[in-house]
Amino acid sequence: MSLQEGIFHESGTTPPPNFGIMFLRVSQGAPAADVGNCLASLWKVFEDLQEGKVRDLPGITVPPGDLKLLIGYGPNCFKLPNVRHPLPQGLGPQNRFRSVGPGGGNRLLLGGGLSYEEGLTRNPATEEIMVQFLGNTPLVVNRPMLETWKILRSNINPETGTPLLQITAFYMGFHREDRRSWIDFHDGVSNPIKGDQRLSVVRIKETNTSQADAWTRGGSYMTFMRLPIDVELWNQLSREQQELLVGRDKLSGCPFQSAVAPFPVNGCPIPATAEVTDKGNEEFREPPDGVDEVIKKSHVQRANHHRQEFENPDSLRIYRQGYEFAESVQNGIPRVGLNFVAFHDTPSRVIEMLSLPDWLGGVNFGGEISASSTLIRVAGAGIYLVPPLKDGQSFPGTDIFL
Amino acid sequence: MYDVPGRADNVSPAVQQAWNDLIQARYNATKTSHPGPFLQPTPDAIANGQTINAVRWPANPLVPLACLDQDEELTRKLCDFGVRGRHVLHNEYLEYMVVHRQDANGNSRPKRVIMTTELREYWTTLAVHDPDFCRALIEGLIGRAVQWSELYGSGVTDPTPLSQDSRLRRFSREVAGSGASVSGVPDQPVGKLNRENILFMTHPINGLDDLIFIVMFGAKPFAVRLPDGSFREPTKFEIFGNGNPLACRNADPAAATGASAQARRGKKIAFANPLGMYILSDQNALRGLFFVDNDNIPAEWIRLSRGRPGMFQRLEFGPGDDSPKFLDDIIVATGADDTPVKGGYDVAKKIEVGPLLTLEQQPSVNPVVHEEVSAIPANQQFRCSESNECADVRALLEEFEGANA
Repeated sequence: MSLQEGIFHESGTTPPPNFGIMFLRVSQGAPAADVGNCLASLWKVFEDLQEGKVRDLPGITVPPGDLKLLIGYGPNCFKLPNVRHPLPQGLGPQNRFRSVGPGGGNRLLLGGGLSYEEGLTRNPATEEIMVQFLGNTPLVVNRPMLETWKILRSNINPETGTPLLQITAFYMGFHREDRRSWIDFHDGVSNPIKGDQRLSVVRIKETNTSQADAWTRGGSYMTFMRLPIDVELWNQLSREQQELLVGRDKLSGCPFQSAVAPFPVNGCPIPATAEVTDKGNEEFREPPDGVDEVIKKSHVQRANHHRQEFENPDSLRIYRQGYEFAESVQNGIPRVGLNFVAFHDTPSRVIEMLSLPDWLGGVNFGGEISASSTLIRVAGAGIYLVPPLKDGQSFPGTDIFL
Repeated sequence: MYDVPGRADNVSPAVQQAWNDLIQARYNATKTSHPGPFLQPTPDAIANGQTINAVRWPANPLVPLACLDQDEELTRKLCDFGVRGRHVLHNEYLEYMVVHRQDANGNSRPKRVIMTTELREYWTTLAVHDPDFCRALIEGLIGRAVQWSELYGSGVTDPTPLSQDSRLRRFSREVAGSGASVSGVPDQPVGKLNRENILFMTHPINGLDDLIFIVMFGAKPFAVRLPDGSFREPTKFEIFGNGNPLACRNADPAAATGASAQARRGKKIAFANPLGMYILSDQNALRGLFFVDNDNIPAEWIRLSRGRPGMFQRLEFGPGDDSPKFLDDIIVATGADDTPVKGGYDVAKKIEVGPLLTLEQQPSVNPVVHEEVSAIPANQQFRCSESNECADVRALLEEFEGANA
């Protein structure tokens, strides 16, 4: 058993620059076997696309664009009639986000500092099925969505007369080669190192799964959050305020040691380099211990307590593989943000990180509690099991359905 | 000279000296097996050192979860199984006791939980060198007068004539347990004082010896050599050696890997002053996780004590006797799951504990010579579910099932 493609944990590999994520809702009452057969058909279409074959263009080969596929299953998938596995512990209520409130909005987690957007009355990222597409061009990650729609429109549930599966949301994103986010600061630079360290965070292990969930070992869990950023609010802050909230120098990305000069850790960046992402600055990418009380409350310090036992879920280390998005301009203000994507052996790593005291509990982004309470909102959020690849299966997770 | 843990007490110079002598003796004894420059005997040995609380871990017992096939409900019940749960399972440097009271219907319900991270050795130092102070302290904690016999055994009406060794043995037998280091004394206390109340930690592994050991053991630049000659950081199983049950806890891997990370950077560390084990989660942050009547619990339901801010060693969590509410009226929210607090496990899971360390700001050990450990492929890693300690967990489970049959 091995991890699905689309999780870039190995040395020498880099995620493709374009991201698409599609959510599929199962028609009410549809039996698991029907869903499984439909997914098998879809997966064949996706695999053909990886070879440049498009169903409606026989004999034509289009640029495959290094399409990478990944499929995941949400908690509701395990309620389907005749489903073949029980709900894994990793998708239990304690490892989920809270629902959107009846009138819209609501906190993502009690104890956490993130809330759904006002007016959001349905969380679009909590369907039974999630498919992630990565590829070299925007077309490569968009085309599978359209091809999915073509398949689904002809696949009607005979009992209800509605499509067996329905696309309820599709989001795109792109990689920023400057390794920064829309708030201009470096982002994701303290990820676990590629190779064994990252794999130990990502892969579901025997050590923390029950016998009943043994079938999930070798797979992973994915947390997805669509996070628009209030750039108007952010840009009202001075550079110094921003840096204290983030915990890094805005230009170099060097982590702060102190809230009084000299701010960054000594020696960062090394001579003849400008940014923490430049070669030779690897040791500075992990934020330091021994920072003062102000810096201790910054985003980088709250989100990462530098625990070194990566394989232990209580280290709350995660592997982030997010992609930025830019949707539109609303009321004269750009609507931009982050497709937060993280892979981990148990979703508790993210749930605890977002809600525990001294981590991101009670804060929206960083700083003192409530200091940045509306900088980030949640437009959608969900947690999915990403089952392992198993020999002989027509698609990952076949054994859930067939 | 170290102050007393948490700077909680104004002790005599003799007690403080004895406490420091004990620390020094334990440091020196451990040092012979783990030589190296990284863990210094006192923070004074580190120029421009900065105090950090970054070596910390969740306080809930982790071992039973592995032994019980990840069954957290059963783990919770065993950990909350009175003094037996405490004695067998509370091995992450936090022990707790649940206080029950009758509700208006006459039903016994959990009222609050009392937690401690206080080290046994500090209390034995008090009991040996200043019995009057020790007794007064206990009386303050439990709210009643205490007889000398409760501290030093039946027949003792005045500990003054007893030798120091006799006080140590008697107090250990009645109140502190042996910590597996006082010969001829049971591991856990036989007297009621620290069984029916909770004064300080008594699990043998929650002691000064093990705290110094694990940080000193970890304070080495452990690394695994790769085929190309470069090095990578080792996993906890590679650091501890495959099959070592210490790797199956929260505390030991966190302490060892935290110390090792500084050693790999060439930085020296020491236990900060005062040396102790502390509850590092603060009151405001904890309030954000617990709810009653759809609001955060009142601040007065989280009572931290036995230390200065940042170094508290005791927590009383839950309503006081003057409140009509009970512990299980409190809701703990984890993800989308809102459940009543059933006992101490639910609270311990949200609390982080750890020592304070002094960290060298600029590395002074150069070059860093790696302490090479062998690689262990992921598929050959030790299964914590097969740990020897699981036999104790299963025996406790039988006891629990017998008691609840």
